[in-house]
Amino acid sequence: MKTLNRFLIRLRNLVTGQRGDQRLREELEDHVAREAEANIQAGMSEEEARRRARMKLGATEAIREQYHAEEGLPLLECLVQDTRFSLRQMRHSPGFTLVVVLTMALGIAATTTIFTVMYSTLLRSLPYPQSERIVAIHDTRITGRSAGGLMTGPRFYDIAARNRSFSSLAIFYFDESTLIAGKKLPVYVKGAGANAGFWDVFATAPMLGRVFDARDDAPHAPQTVVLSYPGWQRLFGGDPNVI
Amino acid sequence: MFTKTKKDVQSGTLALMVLKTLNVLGPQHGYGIARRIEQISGDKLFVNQGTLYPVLLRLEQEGAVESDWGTSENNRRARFYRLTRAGHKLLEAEKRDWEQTAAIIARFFEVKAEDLA
Repeated sequence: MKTLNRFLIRLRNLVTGQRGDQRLREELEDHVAREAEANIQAGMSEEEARRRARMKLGATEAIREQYHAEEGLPLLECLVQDTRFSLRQMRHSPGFTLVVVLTMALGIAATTTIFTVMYSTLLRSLPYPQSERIVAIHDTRITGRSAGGLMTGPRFYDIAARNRSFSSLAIFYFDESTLIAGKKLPVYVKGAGANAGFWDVFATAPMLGRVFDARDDAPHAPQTVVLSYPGWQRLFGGDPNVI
Repeated sequence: MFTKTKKDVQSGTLALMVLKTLNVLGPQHGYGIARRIEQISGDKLFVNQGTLYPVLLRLEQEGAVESDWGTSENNRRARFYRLTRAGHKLLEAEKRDWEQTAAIIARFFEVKAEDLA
């Protein structure tokens, strides 16, 4: 409490730039005057009395410095002064400053970019419930090289039939197709083919209607589609009656 | 300088002396305090007297003393320092600490080799 109080007073002094210089000077002058008077009464000459009095007081500059240090926050004060000094130096040599600023800007930019990429691809968990349980299964070729994330349909159904490790399995492939909605002009859309397990794996529910289920997974089932939210907005203006 | 036999006072000790002086004499200006410390210590302490003022400021910021301008006996303006309630408490606490330390040190000096055998 005591320390806090003192800190606050010092901080206020620092911020308001309030200085007890005048008060200290007056007090010291008074001090010397009184001591000199006492010396004169003890029989010294006036000059000698003042000289002795000043000597006894000690070095005024040192006292003032000490007083100052008690009054404000020397550390902060130094920081402010250093900052001012460096700013002044920077203004003196704008070329150098520019180079330094650019170097730092590029450095920071590069670091942030790399971090952003690393974070989103490696560090951040997927925005799905229990995302730590979601894994990707990659196939390998006979020669042992990766198949680049590709897997044939039969292979997937083999895995699904023998699965004892996963609560659900999803397969999907990217597709680019043409959409002709009602009497509108055909538009090019990016899509993905997926099985019913897709929405189980990611544990997501549709805003409207339903997602794929076992009926859609059956061979020769009627063609069905699940619209993404941006697709719904862009192609159908977010009309809830599209279904 | 020419007073090698006299000792400069550490500021902590000086603060304690200031508190005690104000306690005994009541409100005093800086010079009065310095004078009294000098008298009591029998001129054995060379208070580099100016160092008193930073100590007073510190005590004031800690709330142990209050100060205000006033007029002294010969009608001159001077800043008077007065012990606050917190100052009284601080003095008591410091006094106890000091006596304890002094007692311990004294015991160490009294010990002779045969006492430890």
